[in-house]
Amino acid sequence: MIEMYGVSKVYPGQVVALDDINLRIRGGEFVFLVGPSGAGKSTFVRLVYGEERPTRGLVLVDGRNVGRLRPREIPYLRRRLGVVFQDFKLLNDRTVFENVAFALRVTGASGREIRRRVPAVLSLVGLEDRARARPLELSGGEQQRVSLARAIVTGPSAVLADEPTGNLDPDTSWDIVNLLLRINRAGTTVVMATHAKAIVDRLRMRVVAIENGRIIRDEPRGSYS
Amino acid sequence: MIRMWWRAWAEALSSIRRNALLSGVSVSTVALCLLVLGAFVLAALNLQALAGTVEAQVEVRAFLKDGLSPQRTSQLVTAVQELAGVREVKFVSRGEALRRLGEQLGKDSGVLEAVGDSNPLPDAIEVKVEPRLMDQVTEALSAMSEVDRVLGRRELVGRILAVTQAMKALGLGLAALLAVATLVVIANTIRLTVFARRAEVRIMKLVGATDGFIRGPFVLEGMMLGFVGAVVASAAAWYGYGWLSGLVRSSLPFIPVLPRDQLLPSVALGLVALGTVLGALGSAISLRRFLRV
Ligand SMILES: Nc1ncnc2c1ncn2[C@@H]1O[C@H](COP(=O)(O)OP(=O)(O)OP(=O)(O)O)[C@@H](O)[C@H]1O
Ligand SMILES: [Mg+2]
Repeated sequence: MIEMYGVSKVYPGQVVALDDINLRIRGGEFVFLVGPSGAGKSTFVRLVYGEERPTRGLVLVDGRNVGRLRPREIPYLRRRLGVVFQDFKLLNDRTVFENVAFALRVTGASGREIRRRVPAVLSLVGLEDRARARPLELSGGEQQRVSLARAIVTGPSAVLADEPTGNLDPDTSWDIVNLLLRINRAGTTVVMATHAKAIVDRLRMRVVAIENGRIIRDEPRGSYS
Repeated sequence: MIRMWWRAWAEALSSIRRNALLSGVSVSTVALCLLVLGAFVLAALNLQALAGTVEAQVEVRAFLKDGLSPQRTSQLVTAVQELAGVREVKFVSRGEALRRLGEQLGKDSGVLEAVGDSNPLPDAIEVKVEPRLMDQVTEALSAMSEVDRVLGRRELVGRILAVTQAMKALGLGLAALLAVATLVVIANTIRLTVFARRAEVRIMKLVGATDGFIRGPFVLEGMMLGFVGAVVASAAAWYGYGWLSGLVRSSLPFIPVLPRDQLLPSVALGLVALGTVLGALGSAISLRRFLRV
């Protein structure tokens, strides 16, 4: 479902963020992406949903070359992917409800569908009573959960979560991970970039370790280090 | 489709409410720009009308030889009417000429009594001409056997013509310039609105919104701002014109002013259409940069 062949990403200023990445993630897999800060995890995620284009190599999602998609086609790629952004990317002047509804609205969902699905996802991430709050009235962890709710509300075929537990205490982190596991069991591919050693070591899922833009380890039932 | 439309309206309205201050600034800027443009157009139209009336008053006077029969005189009038460039011909008998002179002299008309019964004035015809063809008409008149002498103030006419033509050319050029300046100002003001919401546009794109989906509410918003600004400008022009034309009529009565009821509806309609289009155009243009995510 997500494939990379010989992928490199060089940012302006000769910053090599990814260097010759080769990787295949099949539909329905759960993958941890680990590595030190600056390793290139966020860049990996950005290449998949088309915010950045690879400098070299091939990025395929469902067999389609993301680097070659026309600008008109990119929105449809993004609708099949749910992204939890490392910096949340919430609209601070809209309510939690609106922020989540937003992702449904862009797909042309009806008001009825929105009123049905948004509360359901909000209670899934434990924010049902904060629906009317605005992002800046929430804690970092709560904002992160809004971002997660927005990523999954459309029922995407893959969820890309960029450090979805970065601001959470261990208990809440586990809630989020359990939620991702549940989505994964329902058939959704999950890629989670993380520094949460305890979680990775405990779950023993596939681990892809990146350092300095290169894959240094890719184990089916791996650990953090 | 209908749902999309409904959503675009709702989004545009709520965005105006959320960005009330900036929307107010945009509306004021649009209103100010369009008011300047409108004032200029109104002034230009009035000057043009004024030039028109001045031009319409250009006339040539031909004095006739003594002793023409009424028949020949009326034949002459008909012949002159046929000349190219002649708008109107009026026969002024010597008696009529004397009476007019008396009127013009007013209380000094006693002078005329000295003249007594022997009227020294000749019969004449007054010919209203198109300023452009004045020379031709003068020549043709001089060539007629019934005509004694032709009087027309050529240099004056030449100068009037030069002024009115320069005014028309200048007016057109300035109006075009002003329209372009208005577009730039409006586009830039709306760019502020869009700039304030670039994060929102970016996030919309990242969760999979199409450009059209994002553009819809923005363009509608631009149209609404442009429309409201233009309505404000039109209202200001309506009251301003009424006030100014009243002022001109009472203090400079010899300058003809076009009536407001006849002039302003079409000018206002033009301003509103222009404001709406410029608003839509302005936001579409300013949005383009932020859609590349
Ligand atoms: N837009 C950009 N322009 C230039 N350099 C960038 C840009 N984004 C990231 N980089 C650089 O690319 C490298 C990889 O960054 P990236 O954000 O992918 O790392 P990361 O693994 O997500 O780190 P973290 O764990 O801190 O989130 C870093 O050296 C970073 O400075
Ligand atoms: Mg990162």
